[in-house]
Amino acid sequence: MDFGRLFVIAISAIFVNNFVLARFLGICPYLGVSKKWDSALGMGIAVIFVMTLASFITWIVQHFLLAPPSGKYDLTDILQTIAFILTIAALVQFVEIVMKKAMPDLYKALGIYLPLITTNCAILGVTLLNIKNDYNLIESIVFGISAGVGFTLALLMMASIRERLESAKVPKVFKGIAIALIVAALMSLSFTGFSGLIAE
Amino acid sequence: MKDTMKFVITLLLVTLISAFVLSFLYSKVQDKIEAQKKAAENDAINFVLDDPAEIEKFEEDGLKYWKGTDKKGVFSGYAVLCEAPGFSSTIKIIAGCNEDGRIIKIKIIDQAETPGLGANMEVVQTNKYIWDFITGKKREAVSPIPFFQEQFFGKSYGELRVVKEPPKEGSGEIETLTGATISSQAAVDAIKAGIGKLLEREGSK
Amino acid sequence: MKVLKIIKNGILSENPVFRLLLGLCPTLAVTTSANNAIGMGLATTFVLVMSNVIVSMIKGFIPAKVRIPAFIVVIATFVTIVQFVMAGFLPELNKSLGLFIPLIVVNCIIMGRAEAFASKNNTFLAAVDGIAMGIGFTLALTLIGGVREILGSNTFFGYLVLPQSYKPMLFFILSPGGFFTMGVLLAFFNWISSRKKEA
Repeated sequence: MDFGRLFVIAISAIFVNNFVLARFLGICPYLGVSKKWDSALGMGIAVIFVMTLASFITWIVQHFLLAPPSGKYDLTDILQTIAFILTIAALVQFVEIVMKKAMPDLYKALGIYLPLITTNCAILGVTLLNIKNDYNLIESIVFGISAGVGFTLALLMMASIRERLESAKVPKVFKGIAIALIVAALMSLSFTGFSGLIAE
Repeated sequence: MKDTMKFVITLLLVTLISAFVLSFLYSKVQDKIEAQKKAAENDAINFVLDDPAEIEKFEEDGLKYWKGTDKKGVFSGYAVLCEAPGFSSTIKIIAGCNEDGRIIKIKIIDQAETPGLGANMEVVQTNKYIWDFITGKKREAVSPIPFFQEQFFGKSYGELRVVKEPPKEGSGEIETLTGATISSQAAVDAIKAGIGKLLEREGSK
Repeated sequence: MKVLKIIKNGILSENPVFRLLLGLCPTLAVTTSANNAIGMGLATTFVLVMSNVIVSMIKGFIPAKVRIPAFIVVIATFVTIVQFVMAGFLPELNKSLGLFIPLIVVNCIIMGRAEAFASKNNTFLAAVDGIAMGIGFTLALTLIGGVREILGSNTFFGYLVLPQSYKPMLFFILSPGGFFTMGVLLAFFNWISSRKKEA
């Protein structure tokens, strides 16, 4: 196994091509759930968890159901979108049920974020990118985890800034999402500084 | 239990109808979609080999290349598919060259680099102003080839080098895209590696 | 009368981007040029109208508990149709919108309208709502795309705006510029609506 390549995939997904700040995936929860640090942390962990599982399962769906190794047929063009979104929706439901039964404490903390995850475009985005980039199973999982970590990192940074923004004097028309977008712009600008990391 | 059955049947029906509709539509547009996929590659091969009369395709050990012959049946050049990871995507290029590695033309067929930076490798320079619609002014046509790609034409693959200042005449220097050194370097690396492998393969025959 | 109100709602008072803040991912990601913005807007409008129509037609047959997955299948079907059209007839646009075409499935506007409007109204009104929301979305995207393209690459729909000696502010095309433009435009629309309220 090529650990160097896995490392590059991880660094690239967390910092250089951060899902939220460079690829614009998962903006809705990024702005919607970043008012409080606690809820941001809960959402972030839930996303990492589902993203990793989704990367794993959709990879199997793609390579054994949609375009099986025998090469007899290839349904990618027709059914990929539907198959992936249904897989994710079912996965989220399943995780919710299992968590409720087996880990009630964790469910209490993360439960309310789970339904929101189905329509989080970062999840579907990660699974589609895995296939588009021709990642193998291990690479897909690593990409899934690091994309989730990148998302959580951006979300937590945003949450801690916004908690302070609450008490700041912001022009009236900028209150709420508008100033959050300006903050996101500055954050994204500073993240472009990481672009040198994958140069060599 | 009765409810569960109802749920399952409803969802099954919805999914079945959807799959049926999609397969029907796909059978109508399949040819068109596949033609488009091939067209990009074929157009690129014809472009980089200056419209050869015949093309022969080779594919071995992950190296994909084509041999072009002109009307008289004389060998006119190779086209080779070159790939390298860029900043945020894999850059795919088809490069045409002759047997000693001098590039004829190149064409980038796929990339998803940052818009405004790396993606400029596919941007064509324009001289048409939006005001021309009002003033009715006609302007001379400019080169339809992206300026970044045009730099490669006629250069020897071994001498290719990325530089930040305007390149010297007659050298193998390629001027980097503003703010996108990684993407520019990747394009050059892809072509160097692709043509290198091709010549090695052909030389050993 | 109701029709006019729905149209006004979709385009102005409940504009999906600037008022409801839905579907921000494509809004920021594909608005690097006005062309891309219109392409994305029209693709989304198509899916929105069709899914609204179908959802309002089948709402009576779908048990409430499984409506969400059923709606997702309907939406995903139309998104796939859009993918067919893009891949077969508009390869250039397909390339520049890329990943964000399949991601129309998870655009919250579409699910949001299916839930909030189409599942409660008749087919005709649902279609009108889809068209109005779609136009509102397309206009908003084109506005953002236009601003970013003019400031960031000194062109509008691919045509130059200022003499070429003027070097554009690349910032606006890059991702920070996307957030920034959206933030400022949002504040601008907040300002307009707050003035209206005072008057």
